[in-house]
Amino acid sequence: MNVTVLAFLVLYYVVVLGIGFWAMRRGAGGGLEGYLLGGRDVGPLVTALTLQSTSMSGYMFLGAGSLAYTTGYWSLWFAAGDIGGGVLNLSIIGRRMRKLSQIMGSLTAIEYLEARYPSPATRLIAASVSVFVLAFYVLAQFIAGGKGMELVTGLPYAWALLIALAIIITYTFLGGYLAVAYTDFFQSIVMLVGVVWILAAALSHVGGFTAANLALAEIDPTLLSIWGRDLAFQGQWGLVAGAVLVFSAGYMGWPHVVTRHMAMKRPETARLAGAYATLWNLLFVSAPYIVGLLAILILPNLDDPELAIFQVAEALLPAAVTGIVMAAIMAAIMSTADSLLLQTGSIASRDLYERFINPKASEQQMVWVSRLLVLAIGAIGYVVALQEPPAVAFVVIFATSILGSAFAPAFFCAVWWRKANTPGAIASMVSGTVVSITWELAGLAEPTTLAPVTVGLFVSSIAIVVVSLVTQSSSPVPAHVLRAMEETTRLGPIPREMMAKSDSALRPEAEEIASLLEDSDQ
Amino acid sequence: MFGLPWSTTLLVFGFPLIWILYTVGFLIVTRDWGREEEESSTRAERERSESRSESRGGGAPRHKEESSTRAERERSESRSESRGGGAPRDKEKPR
Repeated sequence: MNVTVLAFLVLYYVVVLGIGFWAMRRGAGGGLEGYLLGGRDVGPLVTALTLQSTSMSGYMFLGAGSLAYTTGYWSLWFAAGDIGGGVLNLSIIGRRMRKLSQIMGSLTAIEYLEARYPSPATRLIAASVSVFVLAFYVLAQFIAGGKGMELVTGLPYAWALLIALAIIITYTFLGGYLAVAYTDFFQSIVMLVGVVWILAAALSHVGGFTAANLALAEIDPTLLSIWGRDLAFQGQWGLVAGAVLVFSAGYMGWPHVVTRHMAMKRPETARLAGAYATLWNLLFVSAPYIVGLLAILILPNLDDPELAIFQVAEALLPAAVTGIVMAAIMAAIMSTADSLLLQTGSIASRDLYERFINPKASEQQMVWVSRLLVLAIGAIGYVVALQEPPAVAFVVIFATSILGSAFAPAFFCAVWWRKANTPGAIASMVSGTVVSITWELAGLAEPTTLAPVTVGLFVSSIAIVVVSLVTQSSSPVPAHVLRAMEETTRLGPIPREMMAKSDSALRPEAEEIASLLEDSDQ
Repeated sequence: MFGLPWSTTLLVFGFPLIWILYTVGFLIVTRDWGREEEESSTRAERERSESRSESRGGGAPRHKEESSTRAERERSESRSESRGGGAPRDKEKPR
C-alpha cells in the first residue's frame, strides 16, 4: 500500500464530499425540481462538464486503455465519434428538449418521453429498459472501482471492491442533481489534469509521439493500422460505423445524459455548452487510448490490459502525482456511477413505483424506494463483480449500444418530427432494445460484421418512421403536444399561459383551477 | 506523418478537425440564440411591468384578458382531448 497515493485519494474524497454538501445546501428548498434538475439553473460550463464527465466513465481509464493495448490504433474509431458526442447532442436536441421538457413539466427523461408520447405504456417500457440497462452499466463502474482500489490499497479484490462500492453508494445518497452536477464539474477537471499528466509522462518516457509509433511498428506494424492488430477488422465498415456511432449519435439516447439538457439554465445555454464540450473532449478523449498504445512499449507483458493506465502511472510518476492520477480515475468512475444510480433510483421510484404501484406515495416513500433499489443494485453488482467480472469495455459498449438503439430515435423525433406518435415511439424503443440485445447475445456481430448499435439504431429509426406514418390516423399526435412542439421552434421565453400549466411550482395551482372548471362544467 | 500510415493520421487528426468545424459552424448558425432570447425576455419583462402598472390604474389590461381567454380555451381543448382518449399528461397524473 502506498501511503502517499492513498493520502491523495483520501484528500480527493474529502474535497468531493465538501463540494457535494455545499451544492446540496445550495439546492435545498427547491422542491422536487430543485432535487432532480437543480432548479433548471445550471450554466453552460457546468452543463458541458457534467455531461462529459458523466459519459466518460471508468471505461475511459480501463476499457479504452485495454482496447488500445490489445487492438492498436483501431480503438481510435471509438474516440473519433466520442469527441463530437457532446456538441452533437447539445446542438441537435439540447435547446428544444430543454424547452419542451419545461412546457410539459417533466422532471425525468422518462417522464418527458411519456409527456411527448402520451401513454402509460411509453413510460412502463422506457422505465423498465432504463432501469435494467443502467443497472448493468453501473456494474462496469463497480468493477473498475474495485480494480483501482485493489491497486492503490494492496487489499484483496473482494475487500477493495466492497470499499469502492461503499464509497460510491454513500456518495450517491448525498443526494440531488445539483450536488452531482457540481461534483462532476470538479471531477472533470481532475480527470483532465490526470490524463494529460500521464500522457505527457508516457510520451516523454518513450521519446515522443513519432518515436513511439516507429517503435510500435517494429513490434507489429499492424498496430498502426486503422483495421486493428493483425488486420482483424479489415474492411469491416459495419463495425467501424458502430464504434463511431455508439458514443456520438447513440449518446442522444442515454437517459442519464439527456437529463442534463432539461437542467440547463436557459435553452440557449446549449450553444456555449456545446463549444465547451468539444474543447474538453479534444483535450481528454484520445489521451487514454494513446496511453494504452504507449503501454505496449512501457509494459509489454501485462497480465491484465485493463490495468494498463493504472500501471503506467505507477511505473512512471512520483507517488504524489500517481495519487492525482488515481483520483482522476476514481473521478471518472464516480462521476458516472453517481449519475447512473441517481437516474436509476429516480426512474424506479417516480416512473415505476409512484406511477404504477403507489400513486399516492409520499416523497419520503419515493426516496426510500430509490435508496433500496440503489442498495439492491449494489448487492447484486458486488456478487457479479466478485464471481466473474466481465470486461469493463464489453459492459459499457453493450449497455450504451442498447440505450442508444432504444432511445436515440425517440428523443430525436420528440423535438424534430411532428408526426412521431406514441405507437411509433413504442415500436422504436422495443425494436431497438430487442435487436441490439439479440445481436450481441447471438454473436451476430462477427459473421455479419455489423455492430449491435449500427443495426439497433437502423431498425429503431425505421420503426418510428414506418409505424408513426401507418398509425397516423388512428393515433394522431395530440393538439397540446403539437402546440408545445411549435413553441420549441421559437426562440425566446415560454409564454406565461403555457408555463402556468407546466411549471411544477405552479402546477398545484393550475390543477386546482382546472378541477374547479371541470366541476363547474358538470 | 508522425510515423503513422496516412489513413491512421486521418483517423487521429481528421475526425477532431471535423468536430472543430462542426462546433464552429454550430456557433455561427446559432449566434442569434442568445441575443433573441435576451430581447424576448426584456420585452416580456416590459410587458409584465406595463400590465402591472395598468392594473394599478384600475382597468384590467387588454393583453392579460386575451391571454386568460387563450389559456381558458386551451384548458377546455385539453379537457375535450382528454375525453376523446388523448389525455394530456398533467391531467393523467394528479400530484
